[in-house]
Amino acid sequence: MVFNSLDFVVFIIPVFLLYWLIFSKSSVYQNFFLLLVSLFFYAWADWRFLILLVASTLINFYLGLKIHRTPEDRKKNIFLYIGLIFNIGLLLYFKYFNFFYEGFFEILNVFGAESSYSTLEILLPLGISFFTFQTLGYLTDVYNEEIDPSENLLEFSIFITFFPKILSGPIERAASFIPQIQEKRNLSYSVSVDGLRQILWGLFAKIVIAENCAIIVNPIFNNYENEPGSTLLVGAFFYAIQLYADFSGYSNMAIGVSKLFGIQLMRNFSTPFFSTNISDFWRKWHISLTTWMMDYVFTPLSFTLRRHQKKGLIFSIITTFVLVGFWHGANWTFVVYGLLHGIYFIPLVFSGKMNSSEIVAKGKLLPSIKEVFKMISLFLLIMLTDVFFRVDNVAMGLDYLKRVFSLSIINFPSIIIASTTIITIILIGFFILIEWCNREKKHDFEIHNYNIYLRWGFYIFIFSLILFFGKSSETFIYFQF
Amino acid sequence: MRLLILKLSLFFAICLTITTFVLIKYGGNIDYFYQKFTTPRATSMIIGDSRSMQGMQPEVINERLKELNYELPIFNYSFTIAEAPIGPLYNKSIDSKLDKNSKNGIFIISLTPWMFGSDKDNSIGEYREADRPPHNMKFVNTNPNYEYLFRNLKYFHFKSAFRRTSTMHKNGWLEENNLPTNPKIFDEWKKRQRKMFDKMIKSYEVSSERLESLDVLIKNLQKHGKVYLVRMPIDLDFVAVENSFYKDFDKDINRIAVSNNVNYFNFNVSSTHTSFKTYDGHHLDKYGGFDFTNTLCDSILKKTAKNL
Repeated sequence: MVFNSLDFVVFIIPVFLLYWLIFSKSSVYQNFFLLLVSLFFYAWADWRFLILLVASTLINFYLGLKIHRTPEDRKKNIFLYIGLIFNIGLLLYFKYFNFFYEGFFEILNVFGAESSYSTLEILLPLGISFFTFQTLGYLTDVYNEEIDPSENLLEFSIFITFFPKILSGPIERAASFIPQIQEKRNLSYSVSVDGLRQILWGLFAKIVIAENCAIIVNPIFNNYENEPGSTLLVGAFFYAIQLYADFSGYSNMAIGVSKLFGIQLMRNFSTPFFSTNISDFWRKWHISLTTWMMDYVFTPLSFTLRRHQKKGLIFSIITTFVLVGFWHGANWTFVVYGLLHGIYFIPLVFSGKMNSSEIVAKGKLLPSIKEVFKMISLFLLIMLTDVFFRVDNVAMGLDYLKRVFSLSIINFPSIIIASTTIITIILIGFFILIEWCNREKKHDFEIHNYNIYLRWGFYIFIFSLILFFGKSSETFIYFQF
Repeated sequence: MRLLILKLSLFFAICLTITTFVLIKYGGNIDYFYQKFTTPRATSMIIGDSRSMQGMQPEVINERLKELNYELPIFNYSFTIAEAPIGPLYNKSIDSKLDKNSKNGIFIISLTPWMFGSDKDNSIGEYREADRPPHNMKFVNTNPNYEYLFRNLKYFHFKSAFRRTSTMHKNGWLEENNLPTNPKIFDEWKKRQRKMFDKMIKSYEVSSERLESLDVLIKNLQKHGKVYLVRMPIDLDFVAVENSFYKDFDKDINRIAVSNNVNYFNFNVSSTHTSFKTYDGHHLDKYGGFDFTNTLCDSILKKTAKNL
C-alpha cells in the first residue's frame, strides 16, 4: 500500500478519523491504535516478515533495558555487542549474504580453486535497512547514556513500526521521536494542514516529476549502447531529477502523513540541488541517513584517527561514504557511488571548507553568477555519479560514462525535442521554481503565509498537474533498500 | 477538526468538479473505454475486440439498416483482445449492457482466433481478463462513471485531452486519428503487430471453454434479436498467421453458426478477399472501416432479402 495509491486513501481516512475521534482520550489509547494500524500496514505490504519486525522490536527493547540497568561495564558491553551482532546480522543475512558469498567464491576462483556455487534465494524484508538503523542507533545512544531506554514497550514498538516511516524512512532517532508519543497528542489545525500540503507536494514530485522522468530515462538506460553521448547525458540529467523527486516526494508524503497524527518526523531533504559544494549537498540530501552515519560512524572513527590529522579525516570520510553507498544495496555500483562521493570531499579537507553549508542567496531573490556556476558544476558532478545508482553493474556504469564523453556528445540529442521531454522539462522548471522559493523554509511547500487565494490557487493548480500529467506507479526507488 | 474536515471537503469537492468536467467534456479522448460505460443500455450491439471497435461504425449501420426495422441505434461494445476475449466474463458484461426490453435488435459478433486463446500455463487462472474492464465494472450506464475512474485509473491518459489523437464516440466507435504518414511507418507498425501475434502463439492455446461461451452468447442474444458472426478482413499474411494458431477456426465457427441458425460472414477467404485500408495490417483505419461497414451492411441486406 504505497502513499500514492487509492488503497492508501481508503486506509488513511478512517484511520485518521478513528484516531482523533475515538482513540484521542489518552496517549495510551492513541499509541495502542497506532501500533495496530502500523502492524496492519506492514502486514499489508509484506505479511511474511511481520514476525521478524515484532521479534526485532522485542529483542531491542529488552537489550536497551539490560544495557541501561546493568551496572558492570563488561556486561553492558556484552549486551551492546549482542544487540549490534543481532541487528547487523539481520542486515548481513537478508541484504548482503549473497553479495559476500559470491565474492568469497570469486576470490577462490581467482586463486585457481575453481569452485562452483549457487546463491540462496533470500527475500529482502521491506524497510529492513531503515528499522535496523533505528534500533542500532537506539542501542548505541542508550549505551552512551545519551538517552534513557524506553521503559514502555508500546511506545518503543511505535518508534520502530510507525507506519509512515517503516518502509522508507526517515530514519528516526529515539531522542526526538519517543518524547512525542509519551504525551497525549491534540489535533492541531495548522500542523495537519501543513502535513496535507506536504503530502500534495510529495504526490506531485513522485507521480508527475519522477514518473515522467522515468519515461525518458528507462529507454535510454536500457538501450544505452545504441545512443549517442548527448542522449546519455540527457538520460543522466533526468535520472538525477527522477531520483530526487522520487525519494524526496516519498519523504514529504511520509512526514505529511505523520503530521496528521501529531507526530513530527525529521526532515529528509532540504533542496539539495541548491548546494554549492559536496559537503553542503550531503547536509541536505537524505539527511536522516547522513546524520546517522555522521554520528555513529564518522565521528567515532575520525576521533579515533585524529592523530593522523588530514589523512585520518580523509580515511574517515571515505569509509563513511563507502558505507553510505553500501547501505543502499549489495552491489558494487553503490560502493563506487559512495567512494566517489567520499573522494569529492578531499579538496574540501585541504581547503578547510569541510563544514561550509549555507542557504544559497539567503534573503535574496536570485543567486549570484558565482553561486549559479557552483550549483551547476556540483549538479553535473552528482548527476554523472548518479549513473552508478541506476546501472546494473560497475562495468556498465563505466561504459555509460565513457560513451557520454565520446565524440558523439556533440550530436544533437533528438529526444530533447520530443513532446514528452519538453513537457517534462516545463514541469521540472515549475518544480525547481517552487523549491527555490521555499529553500529557506521548513519544507519545500511551506506556503502558509501566502494569501488565501494564492494558496488555494496553488492547491488546485497542483491537483490539475497531477490529474493531467501524473503517471501511476506502484513503487518507489527507495523501497528496494 | 470541524474546520479541517470542512476545508478538506471543499478541496475534494473542487477536485471532483474539475475531474467531472474533464470526464464529461473529454471522456472520449482520455480513455479508450470510458465512454462505453456512460451510455444507456443498448438494444443492438457490436461485440468484439479492437478490430471491430475501430472497424465497425455504428453510424453507417444505423443508416444502412434502418429499413430492416431493427431496434437501433446499434452500440459498439467491443474492447480489445486483452480485455474482452470471448468467455463467460464478457458474456456477463454484454448481458449487463443489454437492454432486456430489446426484442428485435441486431447483434454483430466480430470474431478472431485470438479471442479464443487462453494462457498455456494458466497460472493466473482461466480468465486472464478478470480484473480488467468491463469485468471489474458493476455500473455500465452512468454518466459520469466514477466507478470506472476509481477502478481503472491507470487506463486514463488525461493529458490526451490536449492532443485528442483518438476519440471514443458516444456510440462506442473508436476513431483513431494517429495514422501512419508513410509506408515505412506502416511497415514498422505491422512488424510490431506481427511480434505480438508471435508472442500470443507462444503463450496461448485454443480454449474449448471460450468456444462454448460463444455458443451461450449467441443463444442468449437470439432472445433479443438477430445475430451475425463476422470475421473482419485483414492482410492475408496475417490471416495465415492466425490460421496457424487456430487452424480449425472457420470450421468451428461455421459449425456453431449452423447449429444456431445464424449467418457467418468470413471476409478472409483468400479467393474472394477484398482489401480494406488498415493502419497496421489488421486494424481498419477510419476510411477502411467506413468502406467495410458498408460492405458488411450489403451482406446483411443481401442475406435478409434472400431469406424473405
